[in-house]
Amino acid sequence: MSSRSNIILRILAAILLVCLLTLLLFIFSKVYANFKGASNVVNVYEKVSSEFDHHHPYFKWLPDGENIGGNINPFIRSDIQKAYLRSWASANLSIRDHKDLGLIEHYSEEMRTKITQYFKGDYDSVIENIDLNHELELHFISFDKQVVSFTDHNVRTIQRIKNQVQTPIQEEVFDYKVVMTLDDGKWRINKMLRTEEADTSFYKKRKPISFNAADIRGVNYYPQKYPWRKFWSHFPKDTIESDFKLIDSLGFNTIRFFIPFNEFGGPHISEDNLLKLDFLISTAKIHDLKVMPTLFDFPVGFELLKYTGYDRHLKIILERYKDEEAIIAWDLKNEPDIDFEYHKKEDVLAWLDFMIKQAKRYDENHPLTIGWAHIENGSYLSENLDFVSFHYYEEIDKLNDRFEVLQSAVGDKEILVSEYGMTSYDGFYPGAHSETEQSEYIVALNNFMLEKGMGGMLWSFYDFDEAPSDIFGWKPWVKATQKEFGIINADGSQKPSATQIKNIFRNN
Amino acid sequence: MIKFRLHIILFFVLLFSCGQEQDEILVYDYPIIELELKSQTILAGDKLSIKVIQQNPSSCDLVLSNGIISLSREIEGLQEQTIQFSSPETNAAGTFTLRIIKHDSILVQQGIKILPLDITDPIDIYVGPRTINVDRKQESMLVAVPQDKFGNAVADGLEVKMAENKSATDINQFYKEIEYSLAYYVIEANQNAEDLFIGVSHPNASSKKQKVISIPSWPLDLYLSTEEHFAYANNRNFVKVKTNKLRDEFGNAIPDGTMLNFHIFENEKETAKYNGITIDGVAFVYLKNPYKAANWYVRASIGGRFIGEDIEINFANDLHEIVYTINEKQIVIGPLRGQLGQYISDGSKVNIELMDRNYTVETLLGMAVFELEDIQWQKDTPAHLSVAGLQKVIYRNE
Repeated sequence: MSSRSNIILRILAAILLVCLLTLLLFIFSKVYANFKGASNVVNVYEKVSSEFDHHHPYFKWLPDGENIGGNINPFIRSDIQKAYLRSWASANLSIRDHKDLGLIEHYSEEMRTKITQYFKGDYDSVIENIDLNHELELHFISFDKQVVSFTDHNVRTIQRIKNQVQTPIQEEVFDYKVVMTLDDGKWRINKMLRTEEADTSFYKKRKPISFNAADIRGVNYYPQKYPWRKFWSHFPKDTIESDFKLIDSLGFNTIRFFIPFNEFGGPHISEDNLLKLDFLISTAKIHDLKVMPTLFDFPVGFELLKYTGYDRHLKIILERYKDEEAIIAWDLKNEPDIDFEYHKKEDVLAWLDFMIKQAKRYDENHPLTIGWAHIENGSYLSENLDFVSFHYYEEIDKLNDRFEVLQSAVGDKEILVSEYGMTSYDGFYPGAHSETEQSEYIVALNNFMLEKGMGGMLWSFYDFDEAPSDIFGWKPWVKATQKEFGIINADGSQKPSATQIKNIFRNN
Repeated sequence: MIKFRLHIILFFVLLFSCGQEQDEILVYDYPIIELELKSQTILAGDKLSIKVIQQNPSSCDLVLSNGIISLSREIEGLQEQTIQFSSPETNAAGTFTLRIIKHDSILVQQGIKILPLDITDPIDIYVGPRTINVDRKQESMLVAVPQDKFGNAVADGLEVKMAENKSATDINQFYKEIEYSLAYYVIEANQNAEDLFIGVSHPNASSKKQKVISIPSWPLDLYLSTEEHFAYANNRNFVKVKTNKLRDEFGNAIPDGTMLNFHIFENEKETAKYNGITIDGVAFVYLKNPYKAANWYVRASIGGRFIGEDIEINFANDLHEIVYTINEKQIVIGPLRGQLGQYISDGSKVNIELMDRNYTVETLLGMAVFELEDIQWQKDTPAHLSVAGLQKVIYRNE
């Protein structure tokens, strides 16, 4: 056999081997998929369980009724609470997905029949329903702890119906009369009756709060060594104290900082994190600085199901600091218009609209804004906000026209540039600028803001050693420039822009 | 030059990565809708008719929801039409919100109230605890959760009749108002340890009969007595210690099978504990006589606590004197006789203590024998002989 035939044979053998391996892989994947599919019941419970993890409505026990029959201890109360909240989550999920997702665990047979008749029909719209608030008044518990009766007051539900498009979020507040029974060791809803609409007069409509943007000479702050996601976990108190002193000495009067949803504790914020926030605010006060906390930093999901957790997060923070004079405003979300690229715009705007409403309920004293990434989006929801804010990093000569458009769209609302700046990265990648160019840009933008009666907040105070990929992506030229927006070098020395800033603030 | 080329490449990469989608602006035509309802309140299971009158007709969706339960219909693009919901869709009682939706707008929103019907069979009742003591301190509870024929909680303010049967001739009937969807009654224990039956009814509905078992409480007035007491410590007879017929404070006999403990104390120390169970209210135990004289105090306990007085049981030594003879080869003990002239129990232990050595043999027909060559007993050395609680010092050269 010639060497050529030999080579051909070898090639054919290699191809055959590859085909054989592909076939084996295919068979293996089919078998695996079959096993996965067979565990359908398990999948349903896994799905329900994972979705329950996002369900964190506000819950409290009101004082019990006068004569509740038997005695109740905290363990039983906790069991009832858990089962009751899960029953709501289960119904919400089942209605949304048109199938029974754990209803048998939470409802009596009669209740289940009534709930499931909806998704047995041929209606193809999606009803998204979420419960945000439960206040339980216990009326009765039997001696043997098998039957309880309570009224769930002020059950605030929000609903959205999706067909080709979705309706705005509708809110309702009702009371529910509920009887739960303990069957097979599980508390189930035996009877449930929605009664008259609850008294919602306590949801006062908050008046707009005035805000003078021109007074703001702010800076966006992270400690040099611990920016972005590292900030709250490391929280270097000594550094914060010395940084705030320096910020004050440069003439800034306001600090904008970030409270990311997940890193700060999600729906269950620890007292430890709140004490850190206390420290930050009190340190700012010592140096005569005001603060503008920016909530919900970094991407969050905008599904209605997750609203409960965001609502809890918002409530905890805003109610704690509603009387705090050092806070000049709440920035509800950092650059939500960037999320337009990854989520439906209508979902993002619905989420923001909901958060504005909730924020006004929890804190009637502080103005609200949203830090839009692009000036063109600044007018979104402006009618519900107390002032408008946007971020600007582009050429200054393109700003005036765009500003005029925004100004005319938002009327007499004050406008704040809550991030502006230029990198002083002067290296290999495009987008490089010298420290002098940075300084000139900052001076020019401040002059523009002064002329328009706007305030601004510089991005950022420090240069950072790294720009994390999970925030800035894989592009090295983006990360390189992002690291050097500061007016203070990573080694602590001041750039020319720091001197310029000091001069600007001194002269105005 | 290289840097310049890279800038060009990166420019194009950036250009492609910055593409943005244009927003699509949708404009819809919305009809003007008017609703006509016979009544905003209907009974559960009744037909709900909604007349929909449209200007600029267009198809829409109608959703009826109470937060947990939702119903829906598609509305056609007609000037006038009637949408109907009937049983089982209208079976759930409560306040519902009716919405008519078109695309991203809610065109109409209105409240609808569905009232529950009257109480129907069967009335669900829950009873617990199922077993209670007759000491009047324990209580049970009857909870009725009536429902209408569609399983809805019935309106508060309705009444159900409850009845309890404390004895064959004593039936107690009364009415209870439904409050927060249920009615309840606290069942006090009987004085008699008899089962108690309860039930709930309404003119057209009844519950199943339920039973609460009343069990006697702790016994009072416990006395111990003895039977078959042979007052000599022969380690052979048994003395029977028994209680009186145990009754609770209401005179109910303590149930069969209730366990009592009998504790034996000697010199104020507990030396033994025996269990006995009640049969027909009486518990007893057999205690074996000791092998030597003793004063016992026996006390009874139930559920870990002592009740009643203790009883004293005395045993005297059965053997009067130790009889023995010593010859060249053996020590012969016996005949050993008890109080009635009988031989002491076979197997009674006879012990000889020599210096620091002990030798034991058992009696047979009142006799026990020690071989001298086995025990190496020197003359003039005292040996301590003991049997059945008696002791004696003996010498080989006696």
